Amino acid sequence: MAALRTKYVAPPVPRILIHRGTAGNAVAVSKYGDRIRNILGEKSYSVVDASSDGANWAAPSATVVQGTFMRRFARLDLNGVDDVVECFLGNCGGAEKYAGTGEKGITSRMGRNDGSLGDVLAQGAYAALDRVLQSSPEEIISRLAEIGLTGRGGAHFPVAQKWQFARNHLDQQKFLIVNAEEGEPGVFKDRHMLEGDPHRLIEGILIAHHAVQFESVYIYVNGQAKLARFSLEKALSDADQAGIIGGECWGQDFQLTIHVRSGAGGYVCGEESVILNSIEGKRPVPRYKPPFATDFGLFGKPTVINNVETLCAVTTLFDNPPPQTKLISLSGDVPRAGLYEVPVDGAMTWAGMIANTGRNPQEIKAILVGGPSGEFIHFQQFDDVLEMSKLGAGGIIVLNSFTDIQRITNSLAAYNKRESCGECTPCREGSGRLVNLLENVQENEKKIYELVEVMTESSLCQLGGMAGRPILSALEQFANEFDKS
Amino acid sequence: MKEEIFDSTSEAFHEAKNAVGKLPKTRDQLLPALEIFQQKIRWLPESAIEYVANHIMLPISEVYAITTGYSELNLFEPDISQWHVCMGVVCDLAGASELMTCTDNIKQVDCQFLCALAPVVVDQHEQLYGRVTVDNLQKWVKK
Repeated sequence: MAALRTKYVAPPVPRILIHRGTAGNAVAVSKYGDRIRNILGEKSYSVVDASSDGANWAAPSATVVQGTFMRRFARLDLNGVDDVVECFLGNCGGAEKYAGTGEKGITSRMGRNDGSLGDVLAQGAYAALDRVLQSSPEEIISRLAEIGLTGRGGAHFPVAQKWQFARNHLDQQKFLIVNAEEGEPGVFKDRHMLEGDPHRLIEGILIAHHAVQFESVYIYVNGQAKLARFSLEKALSDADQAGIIGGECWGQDFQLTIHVRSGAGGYVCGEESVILNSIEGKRPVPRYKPPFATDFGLFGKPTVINNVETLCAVTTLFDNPPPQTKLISLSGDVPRAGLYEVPVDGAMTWAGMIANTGRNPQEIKAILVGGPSGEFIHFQQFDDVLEMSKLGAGGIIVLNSFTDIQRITNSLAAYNKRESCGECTPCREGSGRLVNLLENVQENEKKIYELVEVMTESSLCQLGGMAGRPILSALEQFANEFDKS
Repeated sequence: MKEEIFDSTSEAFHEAKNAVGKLPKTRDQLLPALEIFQQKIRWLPESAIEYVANHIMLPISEVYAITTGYSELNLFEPDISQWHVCMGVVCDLAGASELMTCTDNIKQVDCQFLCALAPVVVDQHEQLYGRVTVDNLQKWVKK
């Protein structure tokens, strides 16, 4: 590990990070980066491309870094570019606190590195793995149980338990699948992780490998997330060349192959048994459960399926105390939309979270948590504290007082109808019927409740099982908004 | 169904065939193989499906069935002049429907996962644009 650092880490120099990533690219940030390089002339080597730091609202943005001092310049325009250069040349005015979305936790390196191995090593990458390798697999699993780490993809299954289930199959080949499909409208956390700090995922994978011993790993990336796949593949190749994936730099032989696969669309493709079918080259539809993947998964072998964020969170297992945080993809009517890493330790309320985004919670009617499988949180509940189990995958859409709840409910129902894969009858037929029934809520209210019950009880996967959730939640909390004439 | 007009002698098609030919002949290579064709020639004409089916030794009908399960695999040639407006919930709230009607030759598309910069449009080369206004879009489409 020390040798690795000596070889790759360069001494820190003052520099300007241009926040690219999907968000920066969508507002042509490179134009401002080029202009800064032009102005700096000979010193332009100090200007480096980084990914988004999660603060999408700030794009196009750049951050000046000098030692521990960081200052981000948001919503750049041609005048703003001059301020960035001035600051870099030593005229920053007061030292403003860096208002990033994650100063510690799993987003600590996101948007603060140039994508090179040396840069992330300097910021602590692979230190947890180094420590994990000195512990036994049993110790790792009991540590994860102790800190109570649960899956971050939405189902919140205990990680230690899932890994142990696979470990119980002693002499069989085992697989790890990293679920980076992330097809839920309104969620963009995994892309940010992959674009901004793919080495954290690789570290998480290697920790999981140390604990469970996999034959190989499949990372299943959303087909549209091309930049995420690109930066992941670069990181994999860097880590491979440096002897990290093979384990050579710890004097070991991990014997692990990591494959990257792209999905090709479909909300249902994020469901774990659909991923199994998809990787095996079968039709992308869910499987019956049981058997569960940890017993009979990919190619019939015990398989652990973890979300990107889960494996990233695994790297914090030795932090003291381990950060109890969740990535939140926050959008809707707020001044500062983007990715947030919020504490879920009983201190943060919904109102506090909304206030963090620069919006007065009193101007907000509701928030939609979890998109098409989620539920509405009424403003009267804004003083409740955030709970992991309520956050799903962490997609939050903030709705102002003028929002038409009925329109959103209809649009979510229509989305579930379009995305139903058609494998099971309750979802295939039910999702379409729900759309029709919503046309006349007054007459059909009883039928809606009955149908949702059937779909919840008997659908093959959670796309159908949860399709009624936002509808019932809207009907219960905003009954007066539905056209009952 | 419209008659398939596809030049199977094109260089891109050959490149795709070569790349697919190098993949192992196992079933788990099905999606990667289809993706190679789609990347090179933007869609999956019958000849591409046939080639993949032969390579992996699966019935053509089965490859078709699997292909239709993925919304991003095109069984028809896409219109390359087409712009798309994201109609995800957040973009819809941010006024995407105004963008839909502000100019011709615009189609809607599901969530593009850039919700924080809504409303979002996608150009012919799959490049995303955030915080798009009616003026911007009218200008870009005319170009």
